[in-house]
Amino acid sequence: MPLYRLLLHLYPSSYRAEYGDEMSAIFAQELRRTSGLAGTCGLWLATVVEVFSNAAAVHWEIAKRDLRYSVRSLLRSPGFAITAFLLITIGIGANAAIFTLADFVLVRPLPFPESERLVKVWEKHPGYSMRELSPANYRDIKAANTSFASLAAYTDIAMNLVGQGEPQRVEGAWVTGNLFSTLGRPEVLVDLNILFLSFLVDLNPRGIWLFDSSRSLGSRAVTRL
Amino acid sequence: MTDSPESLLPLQPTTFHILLSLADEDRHGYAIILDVARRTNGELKLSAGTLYRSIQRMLEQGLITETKTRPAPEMDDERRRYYRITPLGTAVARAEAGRLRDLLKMARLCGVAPRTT
Repeated sequence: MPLYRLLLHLYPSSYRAEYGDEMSAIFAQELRRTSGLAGTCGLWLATVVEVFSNAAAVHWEIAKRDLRYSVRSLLRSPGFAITAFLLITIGIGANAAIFTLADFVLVRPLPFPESERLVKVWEKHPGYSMRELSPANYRDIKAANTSFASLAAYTDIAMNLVGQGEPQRVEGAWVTGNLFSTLGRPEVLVDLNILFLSFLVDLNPRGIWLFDSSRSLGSRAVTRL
Repeated sequence: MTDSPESLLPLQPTTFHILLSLADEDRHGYAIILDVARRTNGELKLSAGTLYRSIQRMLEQGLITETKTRPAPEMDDERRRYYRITPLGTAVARAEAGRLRDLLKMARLCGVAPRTT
């Protein structure tokens, strides 16, 4: 009987509370009326099949009843229905946005080969636990490096792009020439499709606007590679 | 709950048999199962799950009701619940019987059922 009680957990709890005792009593009587191993096994098999199919049907009937009740309630108070609909819409949208952000930031690997080997190096100062390296310190650390396969540096910068039609505010970065080879993705410049400023001339991407740092930041400094 | 017996037709066979079983006296669940099996010569043997699923729906439709009248304690089991057919349930059972009678009449006229029983 404990096994039959366990099977009854496939039913909704309200249904089980209402009819579980009687169903168990009926099954016990059926079991007493059955004789022989084959009969007992047959009864158990039929009961398992019956419980699975009936439990699914009961769940479906309850869901339909709840749905009907919900629709009727919402139709009786359209203002509440519209508010609820909007709140659910906003909730779903916010949820999707948060998931997308978390997926990109926390779940997906960085778009570089062997990204698990990438680390970011910070300086630590009294009162500042994470500060970006100064160019001089970067140079010294790189010269003394024996721990990393490669070291590269970048810093974000925004500039005005002029001389190519309407001026545009562009977000970019100063990068060292070995940044993308360090990342293992020299073609990443093309993927990013933003303006990069290079103070070394060993980059050779295609279709990317670059500033040659040996020249001024006037319109003539813009070169399309 | 509905007021029109015809709006519930056609009945599922299980529902009709439960109504027939309760037509002459109040019964508990297992007694309904035994009565249906006896009346159909064992052709229809309701499982507990099927029975109580039907009972739940019939209670909601107002075809049957749970009765507090119980037999003498020595004949009773406190886990049992007893069910009674309602006037609506009786009307629905009659309407279903009439529907089946009309169907049988049509079948006889078409020669697909014997003219005498």
